[in-house]
Amino acid sequence: MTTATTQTAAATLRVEDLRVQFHTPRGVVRAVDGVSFTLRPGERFGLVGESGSGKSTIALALMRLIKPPGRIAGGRILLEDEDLAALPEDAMRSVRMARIALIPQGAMNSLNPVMRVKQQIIDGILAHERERSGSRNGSRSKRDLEERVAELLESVGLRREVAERYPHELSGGMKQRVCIAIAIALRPSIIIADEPTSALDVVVQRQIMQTLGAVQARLGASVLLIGHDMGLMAQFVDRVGVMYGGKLAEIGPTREIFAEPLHPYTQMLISSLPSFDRETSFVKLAGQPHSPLNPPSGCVFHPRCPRAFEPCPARVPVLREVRPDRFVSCHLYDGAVES
Amino acid sequence: MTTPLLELKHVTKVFGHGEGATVALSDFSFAIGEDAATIVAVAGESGSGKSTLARLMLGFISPSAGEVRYRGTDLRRLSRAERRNFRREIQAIFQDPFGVYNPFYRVDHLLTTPIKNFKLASSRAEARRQIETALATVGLNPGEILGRYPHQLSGGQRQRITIARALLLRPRLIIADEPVSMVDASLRATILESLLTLNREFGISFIYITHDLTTAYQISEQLIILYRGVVAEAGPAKQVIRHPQHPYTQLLIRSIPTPDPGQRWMEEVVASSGEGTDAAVWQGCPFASRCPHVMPMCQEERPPLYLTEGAAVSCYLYRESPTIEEGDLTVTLGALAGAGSRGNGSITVGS
Ligand SMILES: Nc1ncnc2c1ncn2[C@@H]1O[C@H](COP(=O)(O)OP(=O)(O)O)[C@@H](O)[C@H]1O
Ligand SMILES: Nc1ncnc2c1ncn2[C@@H]1O[C@H](COP(=O)(O)OP(=O)(O)O)[C@@H](O)[C@H]1O
Ligand code: SF4
Ligand SMILES: [Mg+2]
Ligand SMILES: [Mg+2]
Repeated sequence: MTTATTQTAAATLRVEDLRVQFHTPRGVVRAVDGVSFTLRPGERFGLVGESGSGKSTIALALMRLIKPPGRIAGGRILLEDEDLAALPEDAMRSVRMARIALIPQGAMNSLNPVMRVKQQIIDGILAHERERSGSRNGSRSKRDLEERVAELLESVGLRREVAERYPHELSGGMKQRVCIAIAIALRPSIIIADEPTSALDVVVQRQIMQTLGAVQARLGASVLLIGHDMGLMAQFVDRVGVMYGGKLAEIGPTREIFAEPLHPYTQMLISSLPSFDRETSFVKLAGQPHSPLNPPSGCVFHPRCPRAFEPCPARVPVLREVRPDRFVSCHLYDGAVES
Repeated sequence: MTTPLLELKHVTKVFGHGEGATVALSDFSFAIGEDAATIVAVAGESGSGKSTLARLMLGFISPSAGEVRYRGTDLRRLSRAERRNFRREIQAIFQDPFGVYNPFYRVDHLLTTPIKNFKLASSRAEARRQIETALATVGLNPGEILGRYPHQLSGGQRQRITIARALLLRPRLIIADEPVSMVDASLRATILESLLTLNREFGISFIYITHDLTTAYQISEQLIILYRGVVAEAGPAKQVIRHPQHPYTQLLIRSIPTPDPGQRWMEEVVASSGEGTDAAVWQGCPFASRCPHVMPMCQEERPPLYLTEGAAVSCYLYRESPTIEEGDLTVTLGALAGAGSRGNGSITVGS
């Protein structure tokens, strides 16, 4: 069969105590402040949280694409047993796209408007090969590459003729498919998709998620889906991590989190979800949104938490496994740790 | 019925011509009266003609056929005095609250300008009072807002300031084109609540344009579903969402990922929209190419609006029902509204 359908080796990604800081004139923004989670081989893991909670920064850190004034200030990013956080840049280049690929937030609107789809996909492949082999043109013939582009387009549900088109000739859904094709061009074992459908209509959203799911299955890859829509998470991911203020509040299997959220923030998120079946009224999170320049003491959520008690403003809770596969960062569960 | 505040009569808008023409809105008739303040949501996928409808209603563009009338007069024939009233009585709120701000002026400027232009206050102190009241009405603390520059405010604050600005003019109708699509879910509720406050406490009607049925359900009484410039279905919001009748509305509702992990959302395979093809060249039902119930007649002629039990539906599956004369939804929606109330249940439509 075609190369696009070859299975890649499943890989584990372990993120340990990741910290990313932006040094701005107004102070240090701790955008990601001690985040740990594991992306298991072949799984779909979701990171959900309101905007500014640090999701995109995590995605960029995993790709080692944090630019000044930002920097990875601590932690490890273990792909198998290699720490990506400590890898020299040239070694990291052979990891990007080939082993771990990112569909960046807003990617579909940042395709090059004056370049045909074909060229944008080929550029992605060649850039990688050049860096790997050190040669100018990589090793592939033009025909090889064009055939590869056609396969990639078909694997994301587009006709091969789309190769000749320019971005403005494509609908939003088609552009997002092109972005998926670019991301999987080198058959990564990990695909990070940062809000891949937030600019799309619901009907198209589902088609894109189905495409992403199909591509993932074909590659045997795992997917890290970043988003803010709990509905989408419920439908797509196996496990979900809930972000608040640069930290993970809770991680667990999707079904369990929806059935019984443990962290008060997750509880508020889930109880305020609109539903067509019951009468809903607006439920708002009380208090001020999190301010990353001036984070509160203790638990980052305590100023807005309806269940805050003495230790919350005083001590920072740590993320702990309070039940099998359920991780929570909240003092309410201080006594519940199984060990 | 008294003369409506704003009325669209068989409005069609075509962009471009010949091969490349796009029918953005097709034979659309609708009216907003003044008897009872209402919220009408217009929903549909991108490209379905929602913004075109908003721009037509605001007089930013003129129809290719048909008329848009303000208090009975075609917008193209308003006198100076009428135009001035139109500019005050019909206000707009757009998706991107940044768009209306001049980055070099404090936000105060945005709020004092309409007061000056329409001579709404007799003194500076009076103007200040009006501004503070308007800001407080949308849940903002004037002390925290006034004197600031746009970049010092959050997106949610900026959007609420544009709502406060609209309120200053005491309009009868606000056309809000995707006012919450660029703000966070947690702020969305606050902004929608401001709209509800204006509706309930100041008797301002809204055309609430959205691609998101969830928020339409939360705040609107009536819901119009557009598909490629044509009304697919219209009726009380709760009815249309809970018991969708048009196959397109049904598809829309099924496509919403619900927070119930048991939904099996990923499994249904749906025909593609023929994305990228030109919407202008079709006859018959615009949804026919994707419809699971398509029949030969669907390909031949555009289905009229049928008055079914709960809604107006443009689909031959309902051809046993009476058709709605002239495609005018207003009377129909008025009649259907009897039992209608909006999704959050606390409001019933006045008669
Ligand atoms: N280049 C940057 N400079 C300064 N602050 C930044 C930069 N990028 C992100 N941040 C800050 O980091 C925090 C997390 O942002 P981000 O990761 O984009 O959140 P999310 O993707 O969850 O919306 C925010 O407070 C944001 O303002
Ligand atoms: N100024 C314009 N020139 C040409 N085509 C336009 C223009 N404005 C809108 N259209 C077309 O009209 C259709 C409806 O657009 P629009 O009203 O913006 O839809 P929506 O707001 O529902 O996304 C689309 O096919 C769009 O491409
Ligand atoms: S008119 Fe025909 S094609 Fe159109 S929605 Fe109804 S059944 Fe489907
Ligand atoms: Mg982001
Ligand atoms: Mg629009």
